[in-house]
Amino acid sequence: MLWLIGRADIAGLKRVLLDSSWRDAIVNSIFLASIQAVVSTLLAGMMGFAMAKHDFFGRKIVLMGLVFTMLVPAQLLMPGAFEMVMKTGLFDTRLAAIFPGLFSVFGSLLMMQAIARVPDETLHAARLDGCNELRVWWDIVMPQIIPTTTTLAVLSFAAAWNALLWPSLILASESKATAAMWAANVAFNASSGELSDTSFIAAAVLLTMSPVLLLGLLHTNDD
Amino acid sequence: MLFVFLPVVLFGTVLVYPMLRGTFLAFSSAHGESFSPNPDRLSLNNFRFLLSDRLFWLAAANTFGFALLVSLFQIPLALILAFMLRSIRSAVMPFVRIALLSTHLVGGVFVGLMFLQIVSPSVRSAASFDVLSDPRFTLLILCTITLWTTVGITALHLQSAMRSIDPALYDSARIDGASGTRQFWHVTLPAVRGTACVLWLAGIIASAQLFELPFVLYSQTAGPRGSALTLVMYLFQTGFASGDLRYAAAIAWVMMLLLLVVSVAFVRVSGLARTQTN
Repeated sequence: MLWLIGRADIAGLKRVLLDSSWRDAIVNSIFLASIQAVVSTLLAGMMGFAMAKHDFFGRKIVLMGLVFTMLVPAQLLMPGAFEMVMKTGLFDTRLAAIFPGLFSVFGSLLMMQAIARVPDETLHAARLDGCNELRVWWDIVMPQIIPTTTTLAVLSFAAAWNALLWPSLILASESKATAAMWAANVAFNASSGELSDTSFIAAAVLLTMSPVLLLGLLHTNDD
Repeated sequence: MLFVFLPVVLFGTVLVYPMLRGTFLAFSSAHGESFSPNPDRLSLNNFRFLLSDRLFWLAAANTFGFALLVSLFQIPLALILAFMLRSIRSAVMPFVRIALLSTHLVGGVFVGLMFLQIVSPSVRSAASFDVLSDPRFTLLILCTITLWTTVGITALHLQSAMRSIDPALYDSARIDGASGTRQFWHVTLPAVRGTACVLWLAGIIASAQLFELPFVLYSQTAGPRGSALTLVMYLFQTGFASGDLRYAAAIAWVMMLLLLVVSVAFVRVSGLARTQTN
């Protein structure tokens, strides 16, 4: 990978940075991936809390459903979800592009396992002191699982950043393209021979990969 | 308590409705009959067409061949790598970790673009051998790149499983004269069997969903003589490129069935159900 980075010279980097479609794509991706990282982690945390610390009617079925959804390819949801997007007129909206990603089954199961390790006594104490469930979740449970939470947030960001299939289906306007879509377009132009600027391509790869890699670097995890 | 039920209900609706709707679409109307007066009547025609659809079976063969090849090498390589990681000093560990994690974080599209620079003749300066137009190399290229992407993070997962092994087991093995290889085979492997099997299954399922890499490498086509046509790519082409959502739903359904069969067979053969559930 380092060899490829070496191919990107300053001229190529400049050309990518000056490319307005690249700038739009990066801004779009940062916006969408950040939202997905934050919201999906919070939702997964809420879901994990519900599943780990509350024994409600149908809990086992929900758990089996979650595991089943993980086993099943995500593409099973796509025709139905696409039809829904068309029917509600949300085609070519950024909302529709991130919506499925907000509900992370893997994240819920991860959070569920992490929250299960939080001692019940702290929750009981909080409830006795008069906290409602929202406060128990936010003030007591979440602070105790910060490593897992940040790991999940980074992975969600990366997943949103790298996603190609769903955004390609939903987003049609060029101004709304994500970084992944932009990169796929570059690849298409490159292999069809239209784009032969190798330093541009190398710089494009480097610059478009870097936000996710930076995030991964900043997040050190002791597992 | 509303706070507790809200996410469950949300998850349920968002995940269940498209699945049900997709199932209905798959079992409705006939392939190509979307303009008939009653396109929503229940019918198995989508599946009947699918059985005789050469392209579908080509995609299925490509995809499962790929998944098989990748899964053959992914876990063994990751195991060996994880075993070698044991002797890394903890000061160096964060850098090793980010290096291994980075290949996964980068994602299919960017990896594809990166490798395009190596393999595509129109991008490389010295184009002597166009490896992308030779159907015999497709599987090799896709497998190698996928292994490059996934072995790192898999090794990290296995490493954390290996860390819970009691060092006394290794000590006693060493005292008994066991070499590194034998220690690996008799101490490490049995202990991480559960994690390794879960990762193996997850790897097979993820491999079956291969899309972005061949999409980017073969400029959004099916590759030389269709050798890069994966199931998801075929789904994308039929459902969204040509607008036949119902047939796409049928493809997704059959894909799920095939994966379920593979998963159940895998769980049986590996004895995964016998290990402790969490």
